[in-house]
Amino acid sequence: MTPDDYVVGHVGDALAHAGMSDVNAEVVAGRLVLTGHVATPARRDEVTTIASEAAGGLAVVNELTVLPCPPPAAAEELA
Amino acid sequence: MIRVAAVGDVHFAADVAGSLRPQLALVHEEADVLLLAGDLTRLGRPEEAEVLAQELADVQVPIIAVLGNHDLHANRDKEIVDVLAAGGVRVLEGEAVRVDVDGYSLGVAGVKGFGVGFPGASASDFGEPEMKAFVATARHAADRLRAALEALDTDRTVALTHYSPVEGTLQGERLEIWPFLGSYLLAEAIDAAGADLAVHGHAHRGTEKGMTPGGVHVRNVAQAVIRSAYRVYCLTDRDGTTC
Repeated sequence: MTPDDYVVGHVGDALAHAGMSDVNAEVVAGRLVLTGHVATPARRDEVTTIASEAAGGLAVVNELTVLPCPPPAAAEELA
Repeated sequence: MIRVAAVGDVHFAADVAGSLRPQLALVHEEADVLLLAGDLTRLGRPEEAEVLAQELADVQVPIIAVLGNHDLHANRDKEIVDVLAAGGVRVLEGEAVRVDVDGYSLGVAGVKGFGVGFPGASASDFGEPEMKAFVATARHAADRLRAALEALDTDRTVALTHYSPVEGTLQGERLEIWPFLGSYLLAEAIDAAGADLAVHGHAHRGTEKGMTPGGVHVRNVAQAVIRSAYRVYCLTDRDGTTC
């Protein structure tokens, strides 16, 4: 564990309180990098705001993708 | 045969209203029942459940759900259950429900479940009161699931949970958090009582397919895993008739 991991812990806690379960946070080269999925572009922006407030001054790089929601694939048959 | 549509972890709130409704309105063309595997809301607020209930308004098959940990965050889960019930959703917690489809019967036993981990890396009923309470909660959930399954007398049965009963569908999640994602006690209950399928959510970075030690199919339908509005599982006839 490094001091950067304290930031990761605090950011993860802040995001959890906002109900953002699909976001990974890690410090890379002095920047907080966010990866994972969210449901909408607005939620992606919200994650940036929340993470920035908890990141202790680190720059935040938001690489989150918006999760697609296509129709289901063919049914799986289970005997 | 009976066709089961399922999705979990939709984390609904006003900002995603309308995102699922067009596809859910057509679910009756592909399935006979829709299961919701918990984390129905983002922050456990009844107003979020109201948005989801509106999203489900066009669904023409029975809807059966369990709550997830998000749905308990605001300590307003009873209100959420009431809102969903008013919208026609049957929310199970240690209960079972029967659905009849064209002469076939499907039984669904549901419980949110809880963590505790898996053999060799599970919490034990030892030490601090908080740890004992953690394990007791997991055991109580498993006991209720088993009782609900055993109460069923239907052609096919499904165990519906939010937490995972097996490790197999957690592959992809960090090993360190598995004790917070599922419990082997749920699998033990499913194997003891018997089921044709176990459906769960919660493990967003997991994988879809797994199996209990007793040979029951397990499917992780967290929306981040299935990457679609829902998945459909066809429980084929025992005489071999397929969907």
